[in-house]
Amino acid sequence: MSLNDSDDTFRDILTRSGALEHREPTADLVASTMRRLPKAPPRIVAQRAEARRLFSRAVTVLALALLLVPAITGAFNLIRGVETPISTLAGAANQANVRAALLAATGQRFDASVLRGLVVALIWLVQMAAVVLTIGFWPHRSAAAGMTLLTAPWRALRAGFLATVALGVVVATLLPLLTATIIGLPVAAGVLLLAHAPIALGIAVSARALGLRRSGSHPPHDTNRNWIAAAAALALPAAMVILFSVPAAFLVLYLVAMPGIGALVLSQAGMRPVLAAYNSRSTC
Amino acid sequence: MVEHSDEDALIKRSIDGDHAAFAQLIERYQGTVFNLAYRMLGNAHEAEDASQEIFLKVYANLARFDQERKFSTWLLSIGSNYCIDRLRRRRFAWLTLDDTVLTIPSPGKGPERSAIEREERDAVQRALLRLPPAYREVAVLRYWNDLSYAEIVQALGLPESTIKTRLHRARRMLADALRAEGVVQEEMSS
Repeated sequence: MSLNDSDDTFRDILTRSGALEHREPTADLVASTMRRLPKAPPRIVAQRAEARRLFSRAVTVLALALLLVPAITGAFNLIRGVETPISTLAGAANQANVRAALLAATGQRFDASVLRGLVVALIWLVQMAAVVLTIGFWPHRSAAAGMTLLTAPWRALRAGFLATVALGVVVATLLPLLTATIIGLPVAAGVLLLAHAPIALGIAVSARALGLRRSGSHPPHDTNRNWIAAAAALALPAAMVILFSVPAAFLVLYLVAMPGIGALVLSQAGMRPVLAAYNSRSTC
Repeated sequence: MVEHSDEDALIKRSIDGDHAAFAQLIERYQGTVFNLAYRMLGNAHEAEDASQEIFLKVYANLARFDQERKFSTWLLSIGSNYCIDRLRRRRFAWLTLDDTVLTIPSPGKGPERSAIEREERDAVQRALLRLPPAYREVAVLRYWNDLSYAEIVQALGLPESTIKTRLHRARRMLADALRAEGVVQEEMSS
């Protein structure tokens, strides 16, 4: 009789191996569950859960509408050749005046070298804060993506490059449409801000990967000191370059973040890490 | 029969918000739910956490429970759905080898026999965890929770033919894995 085809034979094998023996939970499940049980009866709990689900769906629909309605309206405005708010603003604001105002606000009060130093320090600190917050909020996921980066660096770089280009194309398509309506202006600002979130995530993952490499161990046995040092080094180039050119600084930021962004893509935001070396030890 | 009507009473009281009654239901089914979660997730700590979540889900959905159905089947259906969902969105967790093996030897057996049995149990658990979640779920419900095909159909809401196919494939994959581990030899000639 073939084991593959026989239910009973298979059950016998499992029984003989002891694998069917029940395992007892080590914790008191009754007490721990009762502590978390809602005070309200099940019917009310179900109603509340349904209300929460509806609210979350409404928020999603609202967010989509907030993005799509101005974008579609903007597209119509552009097709009809209506003067868009952004072009009106650009016409009204004289660039020379803006520069003069900036100089008045900053240059006259500070010595130029001090100001430069402050800008570098500020940009560096902002990046460090973003990295620390990212790793603080997602310690496991950032570590998983970091290990993915160590396991498949070239694949991560390629994925990061493609993801960054795709993000750029989406943002470059959306922005002209959104800025073609007044209501779209704040949405465009939000989109622009969100589009830069991957930088923080990517640098955090790159820092975690470098930290892991330096410590030579795998999480959770790696130390904070190593990834903080790596993050400090990774945040420096963009902070220095911003003194000469803001677009170049953004380019450097994306270049530094690109491998980390790719690792996030490959590991599905750290949920399914690519771990050749650890697959045999982990059930993930 | 008495036990069944007793269970019905506990369910009704729980629906009315009687926590003591629900605690008795947890007491009664904690082993079943924990073992389902442990076999599905492969980690004792995670299984304990999952068991709590499953009971909380059961409580939240108790008002919708059709009392014509068997409570244990409904409970296992919620449990297996939750475990599958958890496997899908599983956060990266660092498992030690201690978490994935069974280390409690049975009393009354010699140390050598215990060690062999422990190895075999571990091999089965490892093989089980290598199965795709959809196959693992069917195998666990069939062999560890002793559900009939009809009950698995009810629990998972899938056609019987799908259940049979998945179970057949799960058996074949487990057989291959156990053959590779050397747990069984003679029965494996298919």
